[in-house]
Amino acid sequence: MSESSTHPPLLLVRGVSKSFPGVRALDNVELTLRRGEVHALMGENGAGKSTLIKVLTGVYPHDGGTIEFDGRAISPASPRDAERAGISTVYQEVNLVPTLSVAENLCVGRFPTRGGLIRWGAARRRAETALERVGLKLRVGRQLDEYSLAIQQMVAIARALDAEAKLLILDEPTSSLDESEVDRLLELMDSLRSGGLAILFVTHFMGQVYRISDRITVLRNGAFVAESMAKDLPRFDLIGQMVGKDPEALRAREAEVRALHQKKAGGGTLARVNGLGKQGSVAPVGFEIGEGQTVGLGGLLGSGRTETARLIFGIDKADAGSLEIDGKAHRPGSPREAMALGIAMTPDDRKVNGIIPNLSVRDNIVLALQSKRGIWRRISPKAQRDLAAKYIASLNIKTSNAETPVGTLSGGNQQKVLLARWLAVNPRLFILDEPTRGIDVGAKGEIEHLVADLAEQGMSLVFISSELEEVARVSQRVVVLCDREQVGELEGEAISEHAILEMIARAGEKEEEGETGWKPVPLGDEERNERDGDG
Amino acid sequence: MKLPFRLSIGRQHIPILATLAVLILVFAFGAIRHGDRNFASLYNIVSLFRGGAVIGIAAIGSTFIILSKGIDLSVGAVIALTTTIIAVLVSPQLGPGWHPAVVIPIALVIGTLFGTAQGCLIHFFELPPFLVTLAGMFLARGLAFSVHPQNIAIEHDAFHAMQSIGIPLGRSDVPLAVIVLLVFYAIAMFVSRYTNFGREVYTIGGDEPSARLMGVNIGRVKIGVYALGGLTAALAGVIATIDRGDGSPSEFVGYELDAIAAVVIGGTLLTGGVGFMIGTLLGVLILGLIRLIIDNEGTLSSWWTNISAGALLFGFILLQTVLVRLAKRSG
Repeated sequence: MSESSTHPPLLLVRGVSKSFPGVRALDNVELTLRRGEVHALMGENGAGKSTLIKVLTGVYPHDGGTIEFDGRAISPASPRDAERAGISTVYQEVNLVPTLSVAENLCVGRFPTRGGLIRWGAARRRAETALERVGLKLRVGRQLDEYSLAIQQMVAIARALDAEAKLLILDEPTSSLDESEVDRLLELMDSLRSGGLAILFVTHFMGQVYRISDRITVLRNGAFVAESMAKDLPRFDLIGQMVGKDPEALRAREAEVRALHQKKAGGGTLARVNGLGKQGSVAPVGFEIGEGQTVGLGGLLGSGRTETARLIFGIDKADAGSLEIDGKAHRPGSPREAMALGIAMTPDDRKVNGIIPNLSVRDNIVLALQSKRGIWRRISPKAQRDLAAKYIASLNIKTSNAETPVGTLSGGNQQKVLLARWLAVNPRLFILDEPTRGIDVGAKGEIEHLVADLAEQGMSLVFISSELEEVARVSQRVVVLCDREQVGELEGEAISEHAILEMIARAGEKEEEGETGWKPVPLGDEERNERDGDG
Repeated sequence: MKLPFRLSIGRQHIPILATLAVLILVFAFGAIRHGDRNFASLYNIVSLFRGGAVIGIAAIGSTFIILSKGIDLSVGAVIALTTTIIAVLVSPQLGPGWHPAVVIPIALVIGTLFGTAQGCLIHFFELPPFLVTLAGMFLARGLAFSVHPQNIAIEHDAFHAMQSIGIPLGRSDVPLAVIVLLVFYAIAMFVSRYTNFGREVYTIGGDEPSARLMGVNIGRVKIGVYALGGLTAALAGVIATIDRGDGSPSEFVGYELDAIAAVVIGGTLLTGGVGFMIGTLLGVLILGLIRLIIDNEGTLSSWWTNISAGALLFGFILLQTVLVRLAKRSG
């Protein structure tokens, strides 16, 4: 680091602006990247991070300012152009082709050829070499979608590096990875940095930023706010820069949320999960949900959190145990039955399972209530409008009006619409599966606050999040899951991110031999000769 | 995915293996049931290929198009248009009476241009392939009738010569149609596997936005597959003209659907990106075998061919759905 900072910077972005009709997406932005550093680009949704990346990678042309890369001014006209200059990008969603083989995914667009014909042997060797750089050994003839998302993400990085990149842009690379996979990725970033690569790291995860970054640049509303050394920028100051508020005020708000959540719930037990389980999904789990209590499901990705929630809500039918509500045992066989019991759930992937993007905010909010009432008892247009107005105001949904299609809102606001939909049916038990995934810090805070308010009003909640810190903050009880099994429970004061992690780690030790976490698939000799197509 | 033993067969190979298994089963069934009528004779096998030649050649283009996640409904009409154009152009009474050596290349160019135009509409105006090629189907069929409204018998020495071409094989001859079929499948397999174009077809069929980010020239590939579709349909038309010895604006109705059926039975996913060229040829043979068996049954009406083909198609679509679901679950 200290050595490389004496060299001229690799990337100098000065005064870059970009306007779209009606919006100034980037306004006089600057960014400086040095060789051999990991540089975090932070900002809320809509701060201009994506636009800046798209300008750097040639997806959008910029209106003003200069981009100097490796000593000369550039203005890439296409992703291909940027790659040729030495800027490679890995996007949030894995941008590879799942139906092609691993080798092809690494080689499309740059197959080794002789006389215009693809040399498959060379392509496979090249793919293996590229994978070695990221520490992977795969059967490169296999179709990509036979591997996990984490491995696909690393293949995407291998592809980006294969283009002789000098600058690697990682756009939210960890949002679909679990903790051990994130560790792998951060390790990889560290070793690439030692190799002299500059990495621009865009993420919502603060913890990861502080673990890996050397410097942090913050954008807000399309404008440059500050560049700081990560070690000199306390977390609260960073958030303050991002949301444009005083760190003291933020600290106070966080304390308030924590205080709200730690308030002991006064009521009795609402529901008891009695050994609810399903073969091949999750081993029987058991815990109590008090009235006005928030129960967190803590665990790594794939630990059985979502599976447990799906059993409670009847999406999957349990084959063991029961759900006891008001002293009566049930085993919901469909979301409809669960809804009749007063249960609601927002799914983890709001784009796939929740939001209907082309329908208006109003339609999306009314949906669950209408379906509960049945199609014959229509909610009058006026009642619909009132309902929408109520939640737009109370949840602070940022939309121009109630008739705007939901698809045009930001992630955080889509999530709020989804919450409003279920709040409208006034559930007794509300399951929130990853309500804060992929939304910005400000919206996250609001949703956490909302969870606290709901609990205060006496609603019981089940809260699921990949960010264990968040689970620890909002829950009065945490059920810890590991490898699709309940491994413990924490209550009240005992809850902390550390305690959850410790519980998971202990569970992992017990079955040291188990197939947990991330493991490379060994490449046997026989697979080296394997062919991956006809011909 | 954990298996108790090591398989070097990837998921992408399952549909084509199913196709191969069906082909073997259907053939074995026919050979056993109709063994007394020399079902498995060389002559029968050659005529199987010959019967499938026109659809088989047209299905080459359909395979590329479906691999790219598109569809081509204009195939049958383009074949009809081609046969009519050839018949008129070689006829001294109805047309200029040119030599087939001039007329056939002209027909191929027209077919290719037709496909290219469809590809351009689909790419530049982002129109759905289904609608563009549906319009193309009506257009080509109408053009065929406007060129000449009735069947035209071709009387030309060069055509008689081409009809009698044959490579002796055992006691039968392999006719020109079969030679063209096999040569073009060999080329198509080669193109799909060993050229950048071929792999880029799979890439955009698998995931078009990703393909764009990977630097694939989407327009070139898309227009390319539809141009290829036009070319193979025209080539199928040329073969049909030679084989039948006439130009027929009203024939070849529904050939595009037979071609699609062959592609799907051949293990290519309608969702794009997965499949093999050779599978389509196997699919054509399976459809031909079913027809042959039902003809041999004697008592069954020929509609049973369609019923069996329908059932088979249904089975393959189910298989594909199951595979896609499995992929989602483990992926």
